Amino acid sequence: MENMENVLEIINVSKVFGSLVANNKINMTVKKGTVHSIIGENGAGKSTLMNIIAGIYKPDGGEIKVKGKTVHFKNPNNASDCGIGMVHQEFMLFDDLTVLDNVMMGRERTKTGIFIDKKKTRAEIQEICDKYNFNIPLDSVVKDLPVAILQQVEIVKVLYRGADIIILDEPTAVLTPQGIEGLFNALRFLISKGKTIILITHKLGEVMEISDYITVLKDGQVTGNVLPSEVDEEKLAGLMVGREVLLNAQHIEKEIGDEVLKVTDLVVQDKDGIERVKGLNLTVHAGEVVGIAGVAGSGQKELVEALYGLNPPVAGSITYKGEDITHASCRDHRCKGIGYVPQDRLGAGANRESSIWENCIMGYHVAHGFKNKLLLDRKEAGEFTGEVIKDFAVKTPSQESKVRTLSGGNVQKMIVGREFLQKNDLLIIEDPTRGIDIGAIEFIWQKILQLAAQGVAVLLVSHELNEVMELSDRIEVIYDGKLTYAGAYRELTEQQIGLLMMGGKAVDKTQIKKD
Amino acid sequence: MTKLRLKKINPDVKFEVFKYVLAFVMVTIIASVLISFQGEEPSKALSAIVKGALGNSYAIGNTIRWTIPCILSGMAAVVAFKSGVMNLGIEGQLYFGAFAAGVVGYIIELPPLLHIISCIVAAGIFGLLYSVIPAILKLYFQVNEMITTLMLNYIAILLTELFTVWVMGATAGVNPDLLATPPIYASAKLPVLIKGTQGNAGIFIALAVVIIVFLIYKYTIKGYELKQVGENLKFSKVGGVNVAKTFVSIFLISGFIAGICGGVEVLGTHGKFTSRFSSNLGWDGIMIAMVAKNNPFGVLGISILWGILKCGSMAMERVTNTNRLTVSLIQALFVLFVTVDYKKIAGMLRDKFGKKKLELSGEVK
Amino acid sequence: MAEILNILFGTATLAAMVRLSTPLVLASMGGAFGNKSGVFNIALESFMLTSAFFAMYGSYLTENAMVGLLFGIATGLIMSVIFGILVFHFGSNPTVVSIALNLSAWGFTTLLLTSMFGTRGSFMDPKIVSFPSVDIPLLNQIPYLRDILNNQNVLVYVAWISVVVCWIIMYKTPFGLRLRGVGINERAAQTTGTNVLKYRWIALLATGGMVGVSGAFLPLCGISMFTENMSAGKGFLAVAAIMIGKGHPVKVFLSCLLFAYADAVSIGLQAFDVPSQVVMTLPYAATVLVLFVSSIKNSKTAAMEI
Repeated sequence: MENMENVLEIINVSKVFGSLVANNKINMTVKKGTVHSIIGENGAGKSTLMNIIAGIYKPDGGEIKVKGKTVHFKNPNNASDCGIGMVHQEFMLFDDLTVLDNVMMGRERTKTGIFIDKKKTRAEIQEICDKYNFNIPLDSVVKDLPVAILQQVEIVKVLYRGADIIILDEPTAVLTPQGIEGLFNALRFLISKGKTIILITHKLGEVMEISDYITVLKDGQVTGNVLPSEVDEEKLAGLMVGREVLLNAQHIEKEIGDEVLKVTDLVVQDKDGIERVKGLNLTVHAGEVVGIAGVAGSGQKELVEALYGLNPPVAGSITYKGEDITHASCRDHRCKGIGYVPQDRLGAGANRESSIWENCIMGYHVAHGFKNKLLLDRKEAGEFTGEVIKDFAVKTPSQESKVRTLSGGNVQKMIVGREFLQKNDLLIIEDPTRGIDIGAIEFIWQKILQLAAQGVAVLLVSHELNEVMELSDRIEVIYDGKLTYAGAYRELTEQQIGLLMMGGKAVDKTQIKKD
Repeated sequence: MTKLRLKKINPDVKFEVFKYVLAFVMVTIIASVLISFQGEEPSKALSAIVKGALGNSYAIGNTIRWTIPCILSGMAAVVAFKSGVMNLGIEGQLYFGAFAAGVVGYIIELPPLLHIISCIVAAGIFGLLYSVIPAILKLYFQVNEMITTLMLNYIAILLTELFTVWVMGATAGVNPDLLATPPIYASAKLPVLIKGTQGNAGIFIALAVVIIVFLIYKYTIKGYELKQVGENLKFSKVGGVNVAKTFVSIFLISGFIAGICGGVEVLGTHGKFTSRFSSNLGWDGIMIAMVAKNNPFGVLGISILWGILKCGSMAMERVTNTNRLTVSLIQALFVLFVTVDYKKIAGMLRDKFGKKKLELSGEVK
Repeated sequence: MAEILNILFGTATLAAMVRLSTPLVLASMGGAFGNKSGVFNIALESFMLTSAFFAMYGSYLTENAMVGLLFGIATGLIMSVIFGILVFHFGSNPTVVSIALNLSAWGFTTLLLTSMFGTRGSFMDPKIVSFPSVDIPLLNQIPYLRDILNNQNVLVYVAWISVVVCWIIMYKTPFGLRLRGVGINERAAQTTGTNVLKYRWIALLATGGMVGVSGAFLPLCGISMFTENMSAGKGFLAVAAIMIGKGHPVKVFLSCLLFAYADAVSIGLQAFDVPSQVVMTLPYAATVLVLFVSSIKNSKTAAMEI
């Protein structure tokens, strides 16, 4: 490997956003025909670096060499002309357009220089699909396709642009274990055809599995350029966070109480009238954490919306402590003691333009009210807010600060604190730790487990399989709008659950009991 | 801690003040250019405005007269905009309110105070009713309220004119400019504050509305909910606010205040409903709310400025060769200047400057 | 009965529909580009009114309708540049800018009318030359249709052609594809190397230019005069048509025809004993009604989102 060509050299690259140094004199070398992983915590500067390489950001200093030549990218087109393509973590696709339109966007072949030559473009794209073993429906509209296919669309898009160096930003976050295996096979195939892959991730197992080289970033600096053979997962984690941590929740043994939530034959449609939840059954008991795992888009969003009264189901029933709440509003849910931590933190969970206290009393003002029904009791509001800030370690100069001044982790702690401190009996929690730092994740996990130990029923819906597996007393897998039982805590392996997430056969329950 | 907070707030306040001053200076410069373009000495025209608006008690009375509808329509806009409802139909709601006040004012005679109250309430209710249509369309069918309210403005002007024709029967003139309901009873007239002027007690109604709206937002749970719904609808819904109810009530309150504005115009100034009387009072309110950044007391301040400009511009037209439309134009420009994001421009300039420095350092390497 | 049928389907009404739809079609074809690029612009009214004034002025100065048209287009472009600088570069809210521009346009044109021509209300002068109407060789042979479509103003045909051109640009060229991309997902468009700002600017200038033509039509469509607030909400009607048609040229065109039809029928009804006020509300009421009907399918989502 030593004598391989250096396709990409990053020399002393820096990038500053305001007072934040996102990249500080980064150095790394990528060799042709390898998978080069870049790992680091959220906020370590991985995405910034990749955006610089892909020509989206301009570096504030340093030099980039592609195939030995110094380059100055002014826009993504320059980078793509040099053979660099990027698949973003959030897919950069146009929902209402077809796959074909999506792939050719920006690089259309034309007739007489004016009109799009669809035939020619299609033939070229089909050729790429055939060459690299991608099977994607070119005429389907993007919004109708599952995530795994969308990822392939993104890769084909990059290949169509003639990329030799392909950057993948957290490509496995949205995939099942089996999907990840498929992706890795595709990547290996690409490498065999002479392409180079730069893989950004924070999942150490994957890194060890597929990488030829590893660069570790921490706080915007390189803390290690290593070969996978030289290190193990613990050592990598050490380089990433500066201390030895592997995420494990402290599982607490506790009593499971009465049934709190019961969902029977629930059917929910999305806003386009397509059935997303198809006759789903679920129960959650007091003191129990029920985790729902599944590939994004399997119906978990619609399930939660129906459970919280945001989108009434078309059939089936939801009962809470024996009371029918199928068609209850969000307000009713609040009043009955059901809390909700939404996935969309800044959209549904908090109001960025308001102060912390105004955010903290949202919901509280309905469920608990103030002494006077009409007037806002600023003292009581302040007390409750103080409690949230103190118990959930929200770092803020004052209760009057606007939420937009808080970091993602602090906003999430505030939201979780608000919901957890309201003495709710049922909590619906969606992706509670998405995109926040490891310290905050550990903190929130502990709080969830403590809450369950106090007898609160918790329904955890997460796209992080690891999270579901660590926290849940019982795991359910959602696939195509239906639930499948996936064992109690630590009963099934990641691989077995992954199979269920892909719609694999249900595990024989008697088998589990025997084991 | 307090020191820290003071330090933090101060630059913001300074910046806001700076922004208004800057906007005012720029607008004055443009006004001067426009005035000289019309062959008049800018200083003469501008002093005519000030004198005409504040020079004597007569002038002040008429300034108050113009400040009243500005405050009321401004508050109607504030209530809507603060909660994210783009009610551009204040003009139309105002017409309906004015018509109702005109009819109640002439059709029955009541004890003075009672008569005024019934007229105002009727005006508010008519304004409110006219805002039901866009509210329902938005709530249940997601029809953009800006377009519907705009269209309903045109319809309101025509419909109130039609109603006036009905009320007047065969005696209605052919000329739409002269269409009006019979004069209201004296018992329905708002008392004049300064004799010989049109400055009337409507100002107290306007002030009351400002204070009530301010108190609602500052101290009540409902006000808290209204603000949250405006800033983040999904968040409020998840938080248990009855968003649909809140949304409709915002529209209705806004329409109610707009209706009152029309009513006060009829009771305080015109003494009867005249078709096409408003000349964009509703739009003034929308501009004022925008300039005042939806702050109730800001509306009060800007409305006084607007009142001065309106009253002063008429005086200016009398004593100089300058057309008073110059001032209307200037008001719209003022809105543009105040709503510009100066921080963004500063950032842009800094970026350009910064970039140059970077490129240089790149070459040095 | 026959009279009512004649008002509803007679050639006079349909010809009026074609004529009245022209400013709406021209403006909304331009606005459709802005809509597809993801910019919400209700300032079309102000673009139209100022263009109408200067188109009249251009024609008045030179006694040439073509120069009037060029004046109109230039004015539309200048207005759109003002809008673009404020919204794209100065961080102003497009709605606020639109409202302020709409109000200034009214003040500005009336001010110019009074200070330049010393008149309020309307201005008529033999020096204002309108565009001619055209007799199309083949069309004048076809009965019924010739009464509707033939002998219309030149710009009427320009408007109809513009629908086709618009559709081709939007759906058959790389530019159109990228423009729609910008409107659907700005960031994704950026990653494909599309300069979002550039595309928005082009779309905005297209809007300005087309609305300029539409504004020029108002004083130069044969009446050869300018009246205060001449656009009278036509810019808003164009915006409504764009919203109903979601920026698709053909659907937008059909919406414009519908509004114009309501207007045409209202003219026909004036001969009857229907109060003029009721008749005049027709186009506006039709707009609200069409918005309502075209949104009925939204009712479920609306309930969800609010």
